[in-house]
Parts: sequence; C-alpha cells; structure tokens
Amino acid sequence: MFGLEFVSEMNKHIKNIFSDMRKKHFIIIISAFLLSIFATVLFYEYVVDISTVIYPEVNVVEKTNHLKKPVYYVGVISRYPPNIIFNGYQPIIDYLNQNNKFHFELKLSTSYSETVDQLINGNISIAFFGSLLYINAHKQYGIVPILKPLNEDYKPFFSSILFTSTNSGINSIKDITGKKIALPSQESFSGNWLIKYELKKVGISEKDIVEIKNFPYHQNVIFQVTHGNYDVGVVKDKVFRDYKNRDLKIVAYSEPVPGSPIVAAKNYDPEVIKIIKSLLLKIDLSRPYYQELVKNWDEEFIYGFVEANDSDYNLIRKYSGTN
Amino acid sequence: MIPIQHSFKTRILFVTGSVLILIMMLISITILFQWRTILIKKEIHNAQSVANAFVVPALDAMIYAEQRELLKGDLLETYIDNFMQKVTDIKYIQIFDENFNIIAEKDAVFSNDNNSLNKADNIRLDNIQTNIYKSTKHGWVLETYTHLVIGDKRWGTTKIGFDAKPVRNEIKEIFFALLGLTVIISLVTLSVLFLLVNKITYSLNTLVNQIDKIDFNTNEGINLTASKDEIGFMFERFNDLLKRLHRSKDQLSIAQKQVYQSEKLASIGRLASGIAHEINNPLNGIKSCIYAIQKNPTNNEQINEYLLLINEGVTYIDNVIKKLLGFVRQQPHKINFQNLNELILNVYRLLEYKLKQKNADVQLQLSEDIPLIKADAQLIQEVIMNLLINSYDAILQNGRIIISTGFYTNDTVFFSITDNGPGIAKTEIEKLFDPFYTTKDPGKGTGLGLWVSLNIIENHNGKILVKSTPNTETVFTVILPIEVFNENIIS
Repeated sequence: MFGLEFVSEMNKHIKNIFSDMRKKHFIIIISAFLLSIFATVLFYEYVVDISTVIYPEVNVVEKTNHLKKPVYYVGVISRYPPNIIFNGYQPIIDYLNQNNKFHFELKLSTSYSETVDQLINGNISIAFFGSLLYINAHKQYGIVPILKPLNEDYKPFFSSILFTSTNSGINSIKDITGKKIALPSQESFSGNWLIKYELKKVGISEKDIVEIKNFPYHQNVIFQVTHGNYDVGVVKDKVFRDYKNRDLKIVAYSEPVPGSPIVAAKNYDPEVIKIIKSLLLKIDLSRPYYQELVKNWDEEFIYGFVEANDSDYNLIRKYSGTN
Repeated sequence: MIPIQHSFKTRILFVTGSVLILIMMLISITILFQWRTILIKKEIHNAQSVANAFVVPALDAMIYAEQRELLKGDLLETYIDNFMQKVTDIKYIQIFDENFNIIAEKDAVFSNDNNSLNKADNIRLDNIQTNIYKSTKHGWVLETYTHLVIGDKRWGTTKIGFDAKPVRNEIKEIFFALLGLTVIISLVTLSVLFLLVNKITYSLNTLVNQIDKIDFNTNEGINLTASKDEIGFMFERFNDLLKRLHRSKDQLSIAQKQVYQSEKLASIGRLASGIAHEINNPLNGIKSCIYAIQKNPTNNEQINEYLLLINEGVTYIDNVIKKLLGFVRQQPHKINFQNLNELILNVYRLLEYKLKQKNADVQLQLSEDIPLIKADAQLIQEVIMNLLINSYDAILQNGRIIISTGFYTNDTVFFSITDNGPGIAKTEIEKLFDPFYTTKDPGKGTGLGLWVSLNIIENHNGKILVKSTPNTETVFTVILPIEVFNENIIS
C-alpha cells in the first residue's frame, strides 16, 4: 500500500503547496516554468541548426607560374594503364617543372607506336620509351636516347621475369610446354624475350604452347596469371615486385638489359634536354630531400638516371637480331 | 502551520532540486554537444570518404577521356548517374575542370539561397570548404569539395551534396532522449528526496505534536519511538530535557508553596496587632469578671452572670483563634464548589477589626445571583486577604473600601476591591505583579503578595485587572471562570 500512501501524501503536499502559496509565488513558479519551456525551445532550435562551415586544413595552392612558360609535352608509352602512368609519372613531371624556363605536361597515348608518332610529329618533346621500341624507332626515325634509369643496385639495367602461381608445378622454362602464356605488348622487350630467345634455347617451339597472348599492359599479364586464365607470364622485374605478394613465383629471368630510355626526337631542343638531364641526373637517394621527392614516383625511376648512348642498347639489338 | 516558503521541506526540495536539475542539465547539454559534434564530424568524414571514393574513378575517367580524346563531360555524367543510383544519400554532384568550368553535373543547386558556392565564377581554390546548410530545394545538405589531383596537376574539382537530414534527425532523437532522461531522473530523484525529507519532517512533526501534548501537571514523558538515527538521538535528548523540566517544576512548586506560606504568614503578621486587640478586649472583660468574682465570691447570682460573660468572651476569643488558625494552617488544596461571597465574608470578618482601626467605610456589594465556582477556597481567600490588606494599607483614616461581586460574562464571575487611596501611577501598574516589587515601607510588605495572587488566579484560569485613577480610586478586579479546568492548581 506504499503507492497509495505516497500518492495521498503527494496530493496532500500539492494541496498544501497551493493553499499556502501566495499569488506572488504562484506567478514566479508559472513564469519560471514558461521561461524554461521557452528556453528549451530556443535551445532545441539552436541544437538542430547544424549549419557548419569547415575550411580544409591544407588549401590546394595552384602553381600559376607555369602560365608564363612555354609548354613542352612528355610522352609515355602505354606500357601501364593511364591512371597508373599518371600516378607514377606526374610527380616526375612536377619535379621537372621546378625549372624556371619550361613547363612540362604529360601526354599519354593508346599504343607504343602512337608515342613514336607523337615524337616524330613534334606533339611531344621527349618520351619515356621501351628498350625494344627504342632500337626500332632509332633505326627508323633517328630517335636518340637521353637518359636511362638505374635499378635498385644502381645499375642501368632491368630484367624480364617469367613467373607463375606459387602452387603451379612449373619450375623451369621446359615445363611450359602445353601451357598458356600471357605477355605484354609485342613492342616491348618483355613481350618478345621468352618467345624469341628463351624457348629456342631449350628447344620449345611456339607450336608446343597452347596459347600465347599479348596484353596492352604489364599489369594485365599479372592479373591473367593470378586469376588462372594463363599458366605463366612475362613482365618487367619492377612490375613483378609490385605484385610479388600475390602468391607468385619466378620461373626464370632474363639477363640484365639496358633500362627503358628517355628519348628525344632527332631535332630536339638542346636547352630542354639540358634542363631535363641536369634535373634527373641530380637524383641521389642517399640524400633525404630526394628520398622524399621520389616517394610517389614510378618505382622504375626512383634510383636515378645515367646518361644513355645508343651503343648501350646493342645487347637488345643482339636479342632482336636488329642492327 | 508553517508557511510553505519557510517550510524546511520546501527549502530542501527547492534548493536540492534546483541544484540537481542544474547538474543534470549541464551533464545533458555536455553530452548533447559532444554527440552533436561527433555525429557531424562522422557525417563529414563519411561524406569526404564517399567523395574520395568518387574522385578516384572520376579522375581515371578524365584521364581515360583525355587519352582517348573523348568528351570528358559525357563520360563523367554517365558515371555520375551510376554513382548517384548506387549512393542514394547524394543529392547532387558537380564536376569542374581545372578552370572551374562545370563539365558535368546532376541535380545541382543554382539558387542563391545559401552560402554554397554554386556558380563556377565564385569558386576559388582558397575559399573551398565543406559546409552544412539548408537548401530550399534539397533541405539540409552537407556539401563537400574534393580536388581531382595527381601530383601538382589538378584535373578539376568535384562538389557533392549529401543529404544531412538523417544526422539532424539523430541529433533530434538524442535531444529528446536526453531531455526525457533529465526530466525522469529529476522527478525520480525529487520523489526520493521528497520521501526522505518527509520522513525527517514527519519525525519532527511527531515530536512537535508530542510537545503540544506535554502536561506538566503529570510527570509523564513523551511517547516517541526512538529510531537509531539523529532524530532518535534528538528524541532521547528531548525526553531527558523533559525529565529535567519536570524535576525543576517540582522544585519550583515546592519553592512556590514555601513562598505562598511565607506570604501568608507575613499577612498574619500584619494582622497581629488587630488580632491582639480583638483578643485583648474580651480578655480584659474576662479579667474584670474574674476580679469581680474574687472580690465578692459569695454572690452567686453575680458569679453566674460573670461566668456567662467569661464564657462569651472565651467563645469570642476561640472564634478569633479558629479563624486565624483556619487561615494559617496548611491544608491539602482541594477544588470544591465554593460560594465566592462566603469566602469574601470569611476574610472580611478576619480583617474587620483591623479595618475598624482606620474607621474604614467598608461597603459590601455582594451579588446574591452568582453561582458557586469551582475553586480552592484557601487559595482564593489568600488572594482576597492580599488585596484587602493592600486596600487597607492604601486608604487613609476614614477611607472607603467597596467589595463587590457579580457576573463578569456568562461564564465568569468577578470580585473587585475598590479603595479611595492615593492610587497607583501608570508606570507602577506594569510592575505591580513582579515578584519583590513593593511600594510599602520596609518591613511592611514582602513584595510577593500580588505576584502570589496572580499565580493563584492564573492557575484558576482567571485574571486580575487593575484600574487606578490617582487620588481618586483603585480597583482590583479578579475574574474567575465558573468551572475551573485545572484540577491540580498547585501540585
């Protein structure tokens, strides 16, 4: 019966309050009550008004000094998908734009040969080329090498790698008889090395292979093998390192061949080439500034460059049988 | 009853309740703002994540379009359509090129109803911001900008408007939940506080009620159930105090009795000369008779006549002594029905001789109609004696004293003693009933007569009125109820 007693006590108390309460107190209490309701409504309106303005912590500051400089375009062969090229090569272009005379812009192409055409037509001033593409373009159009990249051993070479899945039974080139092979562009060294040189060495002809297919980009080759569509693939060593954690293993690799050169058209502007050379030859990974600088660069170029000569690519010529 | 604004209960409830509600409000407001900030930040973070997720493929699409020399806008609008179908929280999307020209958009806001940057002309890199605003078209919108950037090259900028209504609804829900919680907790705590305070005040009220019931004529303690808390401790101490009061009262009563008796004896002392005279006259007569009998012992007729006179004298003396003893003797006090007129006459007779000494004109105007009153005869006689002696002392030779009785109201009777003495000054009247206050010469009064009289009359639930006109008359009026409620006037 506690509840009833409580209610009765409360009633009594409330009656006492009202009977004792003077008019003044009653007005004060009612005013306080109305005021608190009014304040609650105002506070509610304030709380639910979520209008907010947030300025970004770091504003993007457009560099506008390039507007006054002549623009030169830099081509890149379509060895990778365009977004990957932009992500890896745009920072290099940003670095080149530190010069005061010229402004450089990337210009992509849809194929290796389109880049060659852009160079010949003057649409681009220099280009990131492939080694095999260079010897052909040099022969046909007199395109000249300017610089070639260093590898992690600071040597100006790279290798092509024959790889397969970790759980595959393929352990040597001999094992690829009756298998499907994925390759990058026919115009790249990696797209030719295995078929034209290595298979012949071990006495396997193209007829012994179930399928050989060239894909536009090196990354396509990696994905085709990891998805099981193809048994083995060939890519540049740099690309393989990017994806080596995807249960891939090396079956064979080429001897080191000269790195993919930066090339210029025969009638290049020596001032432009001088500036590019001076900037890229300065890269020194032992210095923190450059370590920070190259952080977002395509890995192929982070170890720096050395000057390139046409004779450096004789090894490629030997492989391809080109003079 | 204590007014509500002064009530202990109300004060505790008001002060504690106010502090409690204030604390609860502060806690709730703090929580609300914390939650509000967290929700808004989370919403902005989510919006920026979605915007970033949108930007990557949008940028790829732009690069792809550039590589293939396709129309960027067409490609991006298709992409925007697909994206908005999948992310339904998005209200609108705009994509600008590097010069802030709109190249693709869907459902964008172009009105100037807010601070949003909705015109390409207005957008600069240094004023781009994320904001939440109320749009007339889309309601509450969270607008975020993201740059399409690779390295130092900015391809363009996206502006995406997200529906901000859900986060506002969440804030609303939290507001009402906290408001409800604050009200409920405050009510519950106030109720608990009310019960606790009620328990305390109930104990205090019980104590007050018991105090009201205390009868000092009995030695009973108060009937309280002592708890083990501070209230119980207070009850115990109060009971002890009551016992000490009872003891003090007993001691006071004894002392009062002694004072009464002393005062009575003092009155007798003042009567002594009159009594002596009253006894002396018959004694002289007796002595003369005895002398005459001794002179003529054989005259039997004379002897018989004188013996009768001697007997008459002795009887007279016996009566005087009896009256005196009757007044002086300490008898147990009894409440009986008394005839007030008779009590007055008894005292008058005792003082008659003394009054005659001043040849006082004593007028008895006693009403025959007054009923018997319930009173202690001895004590009332003592009061009459005190007042009459005072009047006697006040009047001069041949002075006048009027003793009258009658109804004062329907329930009360009175007797008054009026004298035509010099009167009492107004300032003196206030002090008349103070103990040891006297205007008489030293040795003639104790200063306790009126104080004792007042105590006696008040114990009979009566009162004494004094009215004096200097050099004209002084009237002492004693008013007594017909029924006396206090059975034990002096314990």
